[in-house]
Amino acid sequence: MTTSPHANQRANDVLSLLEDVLPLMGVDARVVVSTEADGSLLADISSSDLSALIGGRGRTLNALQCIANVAANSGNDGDWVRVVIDAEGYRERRRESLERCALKAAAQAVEENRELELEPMNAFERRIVHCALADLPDIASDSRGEEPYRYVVIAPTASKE
Amino acid sequence: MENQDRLRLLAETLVVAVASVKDEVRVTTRERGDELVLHVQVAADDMGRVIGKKGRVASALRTVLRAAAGDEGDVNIEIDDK
Repeated sequence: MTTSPHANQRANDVLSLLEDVLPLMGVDARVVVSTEADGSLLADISSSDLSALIGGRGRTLNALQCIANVAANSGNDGDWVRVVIDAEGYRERRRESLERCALKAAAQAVEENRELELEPMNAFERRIVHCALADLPDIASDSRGEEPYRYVVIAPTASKE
Repeated sequence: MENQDRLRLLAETLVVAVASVKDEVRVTTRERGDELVLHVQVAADDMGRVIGKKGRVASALRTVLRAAAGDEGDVNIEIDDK
Protein backbone atom coordinates (compact mmCIF):
# COMPACT_ATOMS: atom_id res chain seq x y z
CA MET A 1 0.00 0.00 0.00
CA THR A 2 1.21 3.47 -0.81
CA THR A 3 0.64 6.48 1.38
CA SER A 4 0.65 9.89 -0.21
CA PRO A 5 2.86 12.66 1.26
CA HIS A 6 -0.44 14.39 1.81
CA ALA A 7 -1.66 11.62 4.14
CA ASN A 8 1.68 11.65 5.97
CA GLN A 9 1.35 15.39 6.54
CA ARG A 10 -2.08 14.90 8.05
CA ALA A 11 -0.84 12.02 10.23
CA ASN A 12 1.88 14.34 11.55
CA ASP A 13 -0.68 17.08 12.18
CA VAL A 14 -2.88 14.71 14.20
CA LEU A 15 0.15 13.48 16.15
CA SER A 16 1.36 16.97 17.03
CA LEU A 17 -2.16 18.12 17.94
CA LEU A 18 -2.54 15.26 20.43
CA GLU A 19 1.00 15.71 21.75
CA ASP A 20 0.18 19.37 22.46
CA VAL A 21 -3.31 18.78 23.84
CA LEU A 22 -2.93 15.75 26.13
CA PRO A 23 -0.36 17.33 28.52
CA LEU A 24 -2.57 20.45 28.72
CA MET A 25 -5.43 18.14 29.75
CA GLY A 26 -3.19 16.83 32.52
CA VAL A 27 -2.97 13.42 30.85
CA ASP A 28 0.41 11.74 30.70
CA ALA A 29 0.30 9.86 27.40
CA ARG A 30 2.15 8.42 24.44
CA VAL A 31 0.64 8.64 20.95
CA VAL A 32 1.26 6.58 17.80
CA VAL A 33 -0.49 7.53 14.55
CA SER A 34 -0.80 5.05 11.68
CA THR A 35 -2.63 4.91 8.36
CA GLU A 36 -5.21 2.13 8.11
CA ALA A 37 -5.92 0.02 5.00
CA ASP A 38 -9.05 2.10 4.24
CA GLY A 39 -7.01 5.33 4.32
CA SER A 40 -8.25 6.51 7.71
CA LEU A 41 -5.80 7.64 10.37
CA LEU A 42 -5.64 5.75 13.66
CA ALA A 43 -4.22 7.61 16.65
CA ASP A 44 -3.53 5.12 19.43
CA ILE A 45 -2.97 6.61 22.87
CA SER A 46 -1.41 4.81 25.82
CA SER A 47 -1.66 6.44 29.20
CA SER A 48 -1.45 5.69 32.90
CA ASP A 49 -4.64 7.71 33.33
CA LEU A 50 -7.02 6.01 30.89
CA SER A 51 -10.31 6.75 32.65
CA ALA A 52 -9.72 10.53 32.61
CA LEU A 53 -8.79 10.34 28.94
CA ILE A 54 -11.76 8.20 27.86
CA GLY A 55 -14.50 9.67 30.07
CA GLY A 56 -17.89 8.10 30.76
CA ARG A 57 -19.04 6.00 27.76
CA GLY A 58 -16.12 7.37 25.76
CA ARG A 59 -17.34 10.96 26.03
CA THR A 60 -13.93 12.65 26.27
CA LEU A 61 -12.25 10.37 23.73
CA ASN A 62 -15.14 10.94 21.27
CA ALA A 63 -14.91 14.71 21.77
CA LEU A 64 -11.17 14.62 21.01
CA GLN A 65 -11.90 12.47 17.96
CA CYS A 66 -14.53 14.93 16.71
CA ILE A 67 -12.06 17.84 17.04
CA ALA A 68 -9.22 15.87 15.42
CA ASN A 69 -11.49 15.04 12.45
CA VAL A 70 -12.38 18.68 11.83
CA ALA A 71 -8.73 19.70 12.37
CA ALA A 72 -7.39 17.12 9.91
CA ASN A 73 -9.89 18.32 7.31
CA SER A 74 -9.78 22.08 7.89
CA GLY A 75 -7.55 22.71 4.87
CA ASN A 76 -10.40 22.76 2.32
CA ASP A 77 -8.53 20.53 -0.13
CA GLY A 78 -11.33 18.15 -0.94
CA ASP A 79 -10.43 14.62 0.10
CA TRP A 80 -11.89 13.83 3.49
CA VAL A 81 -9.79 11.72 5.81
CA ARG A 82 -11.34 9.98 8.80
CA VAL A 83 -9.49 10.09 12.12
CA VAL A 84 -10.10 7.41 14.75
CA ILE A 85 -8.70 7.96 18.23
CA ASP A 86 -8.26 4.85 20.35
CA ALA A 87 -6.80 4.24 23.79
CA GLU A 88 -5.39 0.82 24.67
CA GLY A 89 -8.09 -1.19 22.89
CA TYR A 90 -11.03 0.89 24.16
CA ARG A 91 -12.84 0.95 20.79
CA GLU A 92 -12.76 -2.85 20.52
CA ARG A 93 -13.95 -3.31 24.12
CA ARG A 94 -16.74 -0.80 23.54
CA ARG A 95 -17.73 -2.57 20.29
CA GLU A 96 -17.93 -5.93 22.09
CA SER A 97 -20.00 -4.41 24.85
CA LEU A 98 -22.39 -2.74 22.35
CA GLU A 99 -22.76 -6.01 20.46
CA ARG A 100 -23.55 -7.91 23.66
CA CYS A 101 -26.06 -5.26 24.65
CA ALA A 102 -27.68 -5.35 21.18
CA LEU A 103 -28.05 -9.15 21.17
CA LYS A 104 -29.46 -9.14 24.70
CA ALA A 105 -32.01 -6.45 23.78
CA ALA A 106 -32.92 -8.38 20.60
CA ALA A 107 -33.57 -11.56 22.61
CA GLN A 108 -35.74 -9.56 25.01
CA ALA A 109 -37.67 -7.90 22.16
CA VAL A 110 -38.50 -11.32 20.67
CA GLU A 111 -39.30 -12.84 24.06
CA GLU A 112 -41.66 -10.01 25.03
CA ASN A 113 -42.82 -9.39 21.46
CA ARG A 114 -42.38 -5.63 21.69
CA GLU A 115 -40.10 -2.78 20.54
CA LEU A 116 -37.14 -1.84 22.71
CA GLU A 117 -35.38 1.54 22.65
CA LEU A 118 -31.66 1.65 23.42
CA GLU A 119 -29.92 4.64 25.02
CA PRO A 120 -28.84 7.48 22.70
CA MET A 121 -25.61 6.79 20.78
CA ASN A 122 -23.51 8.51 18.14
CA ALA A 123 -23.71 7.38 14.50
CA PHE A 124 -20.60 5.19 14.80
CA GLU A 125 -22.01 3.25 17.75
CA ARG A 126 -25.50 2.95 16.21
CA ARG A 127 -23.90 1.41 13.15
CA ILE A 128 -22.20 -1.23 15.33
CA VAL A 129 -25.60 -2.10 16.82
CA HIS A 130 -27.33 -2.28 13.39
CA CYS A 131 -24.53 -4.50 12.05
CA ALA A 132 -24.68 -6.81 15.08
CA LEU A 133 -28.40 -7.38 14.43
CA ALA A 134 -28.32 -7.49 10.62
CA ASP A 135 -28.11 -11.30 10.45
CA LEU A 136 -30.95 -12.00 12.87
CA PRO A 137 -33.98 -13.08 10.78
CA ASP A 138 -36.66 -12.17 13.34
CA ILE A 139 -35.37 -8.70 14.28
CA ALA A 140 -35.42 -5.28 12.59
CA SER A 141 -33.49 -2.28 13.87
CA ASP A 142 -33.98 1.38 13.07
CA SER A 143 -32.74 4.75 14.38
CA ARG A 144 -35.06 7.44 15.71
CA GLY A 145 -34.85 10.89 17.27
CA GLU A 146 -32.58 13.83 16.61
CA GLU A 147 -28.82 14.09 17.20
CA PRO A 148 -27.23 14.01 19.71
CA TYR A 149 -30.06 11.99 21.28
CA ARG A 150 -30.67 9.69 18.31
CA TYR A 151 -31.19 6.10 19.44
CA VAL A 152 -31.68 2.59 18.05
CA VAL A 153 -35.06 0.88 18.18
CA ILE A 154 -35.12 -2.92 18.07
CA ALA A 155 -38.34 -4.63 17.01
CA PRO A 156 -39.38 -8.24 16.38
CA THR A 157 -40.34 -8.45 12.68
CA ALA A 158 -43.23 -10.89 13.28
CA SER A 159 -45.16 -8.29 15.31
CA LYS A 160 -45.35 -5.96 12.31
CA GLU A 161 -47.59 -8.29 10.35
CA MET B 1 -4.41 31.33 38.07
CA GLU B 2 -1.98 28.81 36.66
CA ASN B 3 -4.94 26.58 35.93
CA GLN B 4 -6.67 29.35 33.97
CA ASP B 5 -3.59 29.78 31.81
CA ARG B 6 -3.46 26.05 31.12
CA LEU B 7 -7.14 25.91 30.11
CA ARG B 8 -6.81 29.04 27.97
CA LEU B 9 -3.83 27.54 26.15
CA LEU B 10 -5.71 24.24 25.71
CA ALA B 11 -8.71 26.04 24.18
CA GLU B 12 -6.42 28.05 21.92
CA THR B 13 -4.54 24.93 20.75
CA LEU B 14 -7.80 23.11 19.93
CA VAL B 15 -9.43 26.06 18.15
CA VAL B 16 -6.29 26.89 16.13
CA ALA B 17 -6.23 23.26 14.96
CA VAL B 18 -9.87 23.45 13.82
CA ALA B 19 -9.79 26.95 12.28
CA SER B 20 -8.57 27.65 8.77
CA VAL B 21 -7.53 31.26 9.50
CA LYS B 22 -5.24 30.32 12.35
CA ASP B 23 -3.68 33.70 13.14
CA GLU B 24 -7.10 35.23 13.81
CA VAL B 25 -7.85 32.94 16.74
CA ARG B 26 -7.91 34.75 20.12
CA VAL B 27 -8.88 33.23 23.45
CA THR B 28 -9.39 35.36 26.55
CA THR B 29 -10.62 34.36 30.00
CA ARG B 30 -12.92 35.87 32.57
CA GLU B 31 -14.58 34.63 35.72
CA ARG B 32 -18.33 34.55 36.10
CA GLY B 33 -19.07 33.50 39.67
CA ASP B 34 -17.43 30.09 40.15
CA GLU B 35 -17.26 29.53 36.42
CA LEU B 36 -14.31 30.17 34.13
CA VAL B 37 -15.49 31.57 30.81
CA LEU B 38 -13.20 31.14 27.80
CA HIS B 39 -14.07 33.68 25.16
CA VAL B 40 -13.03 32.45 21.72
CA GLN B 41 -12.79 34.78 18.73
CA VAL B 42 -12.31 33.43 15.22
CA ALA B 43 -12.53 34.78 11.65
CA ALA B 44 -16.13 35.03 10.40
CA ASP B 45 -15.41 32.30 7.82
CA ASP B 46 -14.42 29.91 10.59
CA MET B 47 -17.58 30.25 12.71
CA GLY B 48 -19.27 27.27 11.04
CA ARG B 49 -16.19 25.11 11.40
CA VAL B 50 -15.59 25.93 15.08
CA ILE B 51 -19.24 25.55 16.09
CA GLY B 52 -19.97 22.62 13.76
CA LYS B 53 -23.22 21.07 12.57
CA LYS B 54 -25.78 21.32 15.38
CA GLY B 55 -23.03 22.72 17.61
CA ARG B 56 -21.18 19.41 17.61
CA VAL B 57 -17.66 20.87 17.55
CA ALA B 58 -18.45 23.54 20.16
CA SER B 59 -19.87 20.83 22.39
CA ALA B 60 -16.76 18.66 21.88
CA LEU B 61 -14.55 21.63 22.83
CA ARG B 62 -16.61 22.12 26.01
CA THR B 63 -16.34 18.39 26.85
CA VAL B 64 -12.54 18.37 26.50
CA LEU B 65 -12.15 21.58 28.53
CA ARG B 66 -14.38 20.27 31.31
CA ALA B 67 -12.44 17.00 31.41
CA ALA B 68 -9.21 19.04 31.62
CA ALA B 69 -10.59 21.22 34.43
CA GLY B 70 -11.55 18.11 36.41
CA ASP B 71 -13.02 19.08 39.77
CA GLU B 72 -11.36 22.49 39.74
CA GLY B 73 -14.62 24.26 38.87
CA ASP B 74 -16.83 24.70 35.87
CA VAL B 75 -15.62 25.88 32.47
CA ASN B 76 -17.64 27.28 29.62
CA ILE B 77 -16.80 28.65 26.20
CA GLU B 78 -18.31 31.44 24.15
CA ILE B 79 -17.55 31.66 20.44
CA ASP B 80 -17.71 34.91 18.46
CA ASP B 81 -16.54 36.19 15.13
CA LYS B 82 -14.53 39.38 14.90
